[in-house]
Amino acid sequence: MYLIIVVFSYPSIDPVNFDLIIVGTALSECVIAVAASVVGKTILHLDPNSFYDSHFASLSFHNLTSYLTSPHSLPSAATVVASSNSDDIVVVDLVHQPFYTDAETATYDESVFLSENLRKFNIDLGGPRALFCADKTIDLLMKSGAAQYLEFKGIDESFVYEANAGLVNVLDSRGMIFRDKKLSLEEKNQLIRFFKLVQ
Amino acid sequence: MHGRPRKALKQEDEAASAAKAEKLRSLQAQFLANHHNHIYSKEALDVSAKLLEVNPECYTAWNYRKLAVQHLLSNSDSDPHSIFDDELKLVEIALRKNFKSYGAWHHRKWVLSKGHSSIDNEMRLLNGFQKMDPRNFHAWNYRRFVAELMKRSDEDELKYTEEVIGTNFSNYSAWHNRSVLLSNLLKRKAEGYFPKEKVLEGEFEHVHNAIFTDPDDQSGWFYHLWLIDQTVKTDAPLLVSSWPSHGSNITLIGDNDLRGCGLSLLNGTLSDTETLPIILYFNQAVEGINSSTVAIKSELLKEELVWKPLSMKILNTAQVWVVYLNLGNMELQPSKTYSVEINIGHSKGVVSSNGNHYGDPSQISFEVFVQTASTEPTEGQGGKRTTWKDTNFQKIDHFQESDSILPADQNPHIPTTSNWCTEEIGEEITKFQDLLSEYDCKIGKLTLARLLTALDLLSSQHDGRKSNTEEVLQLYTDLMKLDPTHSLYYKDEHSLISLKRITSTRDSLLPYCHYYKDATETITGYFCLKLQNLSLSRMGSIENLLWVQMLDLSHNELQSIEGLEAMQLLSCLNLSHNKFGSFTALGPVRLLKSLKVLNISYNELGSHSIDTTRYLCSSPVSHTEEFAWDRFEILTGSINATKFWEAFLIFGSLTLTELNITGNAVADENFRSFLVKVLPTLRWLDDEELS
Repeated sequence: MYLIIVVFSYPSIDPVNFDLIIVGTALSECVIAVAASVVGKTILHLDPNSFYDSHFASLSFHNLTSYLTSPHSLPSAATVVASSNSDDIVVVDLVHQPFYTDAETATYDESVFLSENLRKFNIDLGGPRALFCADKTIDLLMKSGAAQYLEFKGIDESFVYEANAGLVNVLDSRGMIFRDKKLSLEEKNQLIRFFKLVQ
Repeated sequence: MHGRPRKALKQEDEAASAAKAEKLRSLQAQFLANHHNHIYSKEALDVSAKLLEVNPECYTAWNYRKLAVQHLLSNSDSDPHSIFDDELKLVEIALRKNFKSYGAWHHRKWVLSKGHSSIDNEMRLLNGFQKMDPRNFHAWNYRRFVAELMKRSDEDELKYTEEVIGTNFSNYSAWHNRSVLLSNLLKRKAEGYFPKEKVLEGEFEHVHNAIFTDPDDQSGWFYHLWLIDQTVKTDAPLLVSSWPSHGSNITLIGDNDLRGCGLSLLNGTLSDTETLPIILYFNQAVEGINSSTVAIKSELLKEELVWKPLSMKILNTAQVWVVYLNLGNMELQPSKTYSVEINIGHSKGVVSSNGNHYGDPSQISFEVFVQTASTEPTEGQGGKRTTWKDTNFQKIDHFQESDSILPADQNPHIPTTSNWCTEEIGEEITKFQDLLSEYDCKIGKLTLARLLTALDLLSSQHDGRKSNTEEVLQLYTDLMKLDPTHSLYYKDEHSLISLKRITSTRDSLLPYCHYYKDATETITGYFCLKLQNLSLSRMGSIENLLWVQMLDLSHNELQSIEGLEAMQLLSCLNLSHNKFGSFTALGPVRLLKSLKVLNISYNELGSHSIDTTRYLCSSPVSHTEEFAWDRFEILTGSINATKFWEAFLIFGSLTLTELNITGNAVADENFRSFLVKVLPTLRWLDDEELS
């Protein structure tokens, strides 16, 4: 029901009338677009960038530098309104919270390896996300089909930071309890019984 | 898979299975034809290779390939390396199909033992398979083989077991491998593995982590059992008991009348005997007992002595040895005392099964007193029928102060046990009592029972310590309820501990000792040890009962009297109301030369069509027995011989005067008449006097 097009190529748009025009492809804009589409509205979805605009985007190397150095100002919605000179349009400004206050990039000599392999890397701005195995989010991902586009990796070890001891392993398996040197024998027995209790 | 119902195959699965079976049959037929005709061509080898890839369990095919390799080596110009390399490739393919295929592992071992193959890849292969199945004991066996081939040190292999156990301590094979390696290192007294105590302490600590982390996982418990054994075991053979015991006094009486004589347990009384047995009881089976390693000095000694092992098997090793002093040829002087002195181990030669020498020379002295012949006239026919009714027995209130029936009291030769052993076992006991107070665990209870028993054993010469017998008996009683599947084992252990308790001190034994009164109500010289109604399922502590001449084991649950052969003085034995299911189980009585009275009434002889003990005990079937077939055939005559040969084997060498077999399924008229023939000395059968 809606199109996402790259503005700079300026193809002709048909039809010319829309119920909703959305500028920007961040998560909030996408959610609004989907919600409106579900209820049958016609939507025009625009983005001035050559990549999806989002703090949660996964960007290629080139796009990353563009994203970081480009001005965050977007054309004001009022400007759009003024140029169209129509009284039927309601204008709503979305406020974006900055993800960071400042960013600095430095470029090192690009080796041949780097040149050849730039396309193989993407940088995830939001970083990895942790989910519990039995979390409801898992069910949602499965139901929506989004799981097909995701990969998961198990957490191998957990640590607790203690002022005196530094990083201390969190014992989470029978083998780790067996190997631990600090717990007394009674504590080992109590811990494994707790594990069996919660399983 | 165990416990899972078998589901009907779907149509397409059935078709696929049938096709596979057909292919397998075809391969097998081709292979067997080649094997039968000794065809070792490349095509024939390919057929066997395909067969083994599909079914690595086909031992015949592996054997065929061994023959083929030998053939090719003898006749072909091929490089031995490439021949063996093909075998290794095939083994690897087969193991990927089933890494528990014994035939494949064995074949690989065979190939490597030929010496033509590189062993560089073996550890990589092993590590791969052991990752797939870390417990695979075939792989562990093979690993020991390869490690030895590579001359890989026991220390490095020990580190490997540590890693594997660290990953998952539920690995019986890794713990077992560890015990093999440590055995080697301890035996060699390798650097870092001496003294033994330090090593064992570290190992106990290591296995505690597994046991306390998960007490229900038995893998650590089995290793712990091995450690206990290493801690407790004594290497050197020891003499734990003898009859006559050191310092005792034996009275010889010239006739059958025992009245008024020999009211003393330590100082035994023998009547109407031409031989005097001397019994040596060791803590383990030994060999090399002869007249030079065991020297006897006495006026009673007139001829060369021949020591005999008392064993149900025909072996040169036995835990119990006996020699008979022949008194029949001697003119014994009345009222004279003869001294006997026995020296053991003053010259080398007594060796245990595992190669340890008897190291502590010891001496036993006793006296033999010849009683003046009785002047009273002999009554009746000179013998009375023995009756086992309670009215014929009178309790003994006390022993004379000078009496001591316990060899341990008289045996100063048992060396002091290392304090470390006692302390280590004591610490283990404390730990597991703590664990069991919070956590119910069957194998923990069993281990605690074993530890307490071991502690009592170690402390037996330190009489100050309180015995743990009551706690051990309670543990086994609990285990019989908790673990009914193994209740017979627990019952046996319970019986052994009970008997140890009963025979441990003079005071504990007293309630079970009785005077025997004959029909005229006169107290005879016989002491009877009455161990009735104790739910005994197994005999033990025989070393403390060598002196017994009259033994009542009736109304118990015995199925075997293994070990009883050591009681060479036994004259009267009551096994009534037990669970003997076959004559084979009565085997030990064959060695009791003094036995006159035997009661096996109300047992299960003849009730079981299959003798489940036949292969545990000696029998003509096992070809280890000398069987008097000629005499057997004469005696059985027209009777169906096959039914009675086991009874003949038991009774044929005895000189019983009384026998009672009432209440057994086998006891019919034919059998009774057979017994009368086999036992010409018999005077009473089933409480009826024979003419």
